[in-house]
Amino acid sequence: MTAPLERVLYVEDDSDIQEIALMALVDLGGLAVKVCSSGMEALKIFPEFCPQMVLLDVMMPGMDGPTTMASLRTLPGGAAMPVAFMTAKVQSHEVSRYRDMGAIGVISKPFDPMTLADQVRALWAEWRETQGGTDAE
Amino acid sequence: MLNEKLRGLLTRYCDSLPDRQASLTAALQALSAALDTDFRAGEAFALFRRDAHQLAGSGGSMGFPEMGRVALSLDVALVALAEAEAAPGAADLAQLRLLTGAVLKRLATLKPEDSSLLQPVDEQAEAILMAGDVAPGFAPPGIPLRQSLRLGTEIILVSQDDVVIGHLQRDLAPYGLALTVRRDLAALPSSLSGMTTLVIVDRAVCGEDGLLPPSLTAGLAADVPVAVMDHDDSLDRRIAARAAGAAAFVGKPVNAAVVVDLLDRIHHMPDPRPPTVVIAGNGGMDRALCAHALQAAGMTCALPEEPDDLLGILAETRPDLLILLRRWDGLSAADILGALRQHPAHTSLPVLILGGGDGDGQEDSVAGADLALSLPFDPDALVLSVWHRVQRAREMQALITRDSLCNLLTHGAFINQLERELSLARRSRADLTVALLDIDGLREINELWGHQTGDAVLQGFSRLLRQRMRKTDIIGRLGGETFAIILPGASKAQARQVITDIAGAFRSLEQPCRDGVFQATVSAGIADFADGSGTVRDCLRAADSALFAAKNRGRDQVCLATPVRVEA
Repeated sequence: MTAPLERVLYVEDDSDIQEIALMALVDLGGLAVKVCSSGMEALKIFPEFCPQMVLLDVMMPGMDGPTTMASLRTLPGGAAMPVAFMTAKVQSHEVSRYRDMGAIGVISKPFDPMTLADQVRALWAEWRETQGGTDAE
Repeated sequence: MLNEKLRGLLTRYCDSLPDRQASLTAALQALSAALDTDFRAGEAFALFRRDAHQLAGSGGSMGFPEMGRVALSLDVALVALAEAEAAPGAADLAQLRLLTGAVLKRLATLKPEDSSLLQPVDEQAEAILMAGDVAPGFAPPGIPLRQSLRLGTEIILVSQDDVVIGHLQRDLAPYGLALTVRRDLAALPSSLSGMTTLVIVDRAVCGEDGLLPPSLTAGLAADVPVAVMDHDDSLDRRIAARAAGAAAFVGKPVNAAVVVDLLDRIHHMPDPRPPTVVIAGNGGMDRALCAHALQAAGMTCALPEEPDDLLGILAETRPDLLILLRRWDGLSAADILGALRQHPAHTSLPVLILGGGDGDGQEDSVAGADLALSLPFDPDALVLSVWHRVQRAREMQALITRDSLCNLLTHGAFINQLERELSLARRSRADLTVALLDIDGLREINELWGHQTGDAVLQGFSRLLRQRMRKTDIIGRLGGETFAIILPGASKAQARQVITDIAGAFRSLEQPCRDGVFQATVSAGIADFADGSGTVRDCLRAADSALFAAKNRGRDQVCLATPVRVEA
């Protein structure tokens, strides 16, 4: 059985974007979202929140998105965690660069709040497809 | 409920804007004060970057795409500046000041109720600009998209001028066009049909001193162009016609040839591909900002790393335009451009100089350049300059590959096309038919009535070809009175039918001369090439021998080539 996407960990340093994204994901999208303002905070919260997916801003002061993802991979349950980046200026070669790093996809900023949750769910569904064989545990 | 929450969020966001404006202004001031050091190491620069990045990220998502767009330019410039090798100078600061000014200007006017998030859904979709998303037929912001016009066979003429009506009614028919006449403007909107391709309004129906209505196109379908016909061909009248929405202006007297020409011109669509631009110069803020601005406007950019790569990249990308930054590894833009202009492939390449000739506040103009933009530059102005220059260059290119008398492909351009079509047909194993057409007795016409009469016959025949052939057919004038047509995908029988019809229509045209009117005829030879077998030479030779047969059998007829078989 495929469980639907419910729990998302979202890491973003800008409080304005946090707010609009929360509205899009929680109020419009019906997801349970935990927001962190830095990579450090995300690594701390990850084990207790047990998300099904992580959304990471790329450019953050201190620990940036790719660094956060790399650290996440070393945590229990983090190795196979689906991670998507959010970033401005998305061009096709950048998308493939982030995918090569191990991200399941990229959401471009600015995002459309009305469809953000759909975009996240679509990335999740696409990832589940590729995981098809490993469902039976 | 959700709307309330959204409104609250937007209000808080807009309430924070004065602080953000103050923060940006303070950052600029701090950088100005620290200009004698490398200000990138300081706290103010870090805060400046954070502010710009946040505005770029939040603007679009908050439903203020225009603010997000200009903030993104500032963000891109700051990132490039942070990564540049050389310490920033006064010129970089001036550029930052210009970009920040654009952001401040937008911030000053933002109001929660203007957010696209609070607008009806279909307007939202357009307002949220996703970076990298380019719609087909994209035009930069501020440039209206050109709509494709309806192809049809009916022309509506609003006029009470019985001389013009009479001429057009008789002479448009051979081109396959039907004329519908209305005697006043009020009857116009209800007269349009699905086949209407052009409306011509006689200015005289507005009364001799009467004004044109504010909008000639009111109540008409948007894809049907309106032309104004006026006996007074003055700039005033032309401006007034255009202001009323006319797509074209024709001076009286008007005959069928003028109308068909007009249709050709109006329906000629500019090349819809987004421009390709090569940006050459030292890496750094100017180059990064330039590339970002053009790419965000849907253009494709190539950035050679070193001067040694330039010729290779130009040959490979065949750009629509080259942007030269003032210096590149110690070379000046003037030297690079001078050398390029001596290269036969780049004599006519449009070139924009960004930042003047030899730099350091010297004059902007450089010999051989088409445009110059001084520093600091407005990214939007750059995009518009590039866009318009490229459109102009494409129009000129189209004119050069066309024969000026007949508006058909020249001999050389036709042969190039034939080579292309043959290889396409080979690859897709499709049929290809080539027809050669030759106007009968043109030399006698020239001798009897003069070259002007002969030229009119050639032009009339060319128009007939352009009107009657399919859009995918390729028509050229090989020279003198000989024309050639490539009909991709057409069988010999289909081609014969089309060419026979055209020859019939041409025969029925009344050709005016000083003694009255006469008839002209055409002979044609057709050859087909299953699967695109054979060379350009085979094609033309086979069609030519069929044409020779048609002439030999008494002219005014269409002959087919005996099948050509290439030995396996």
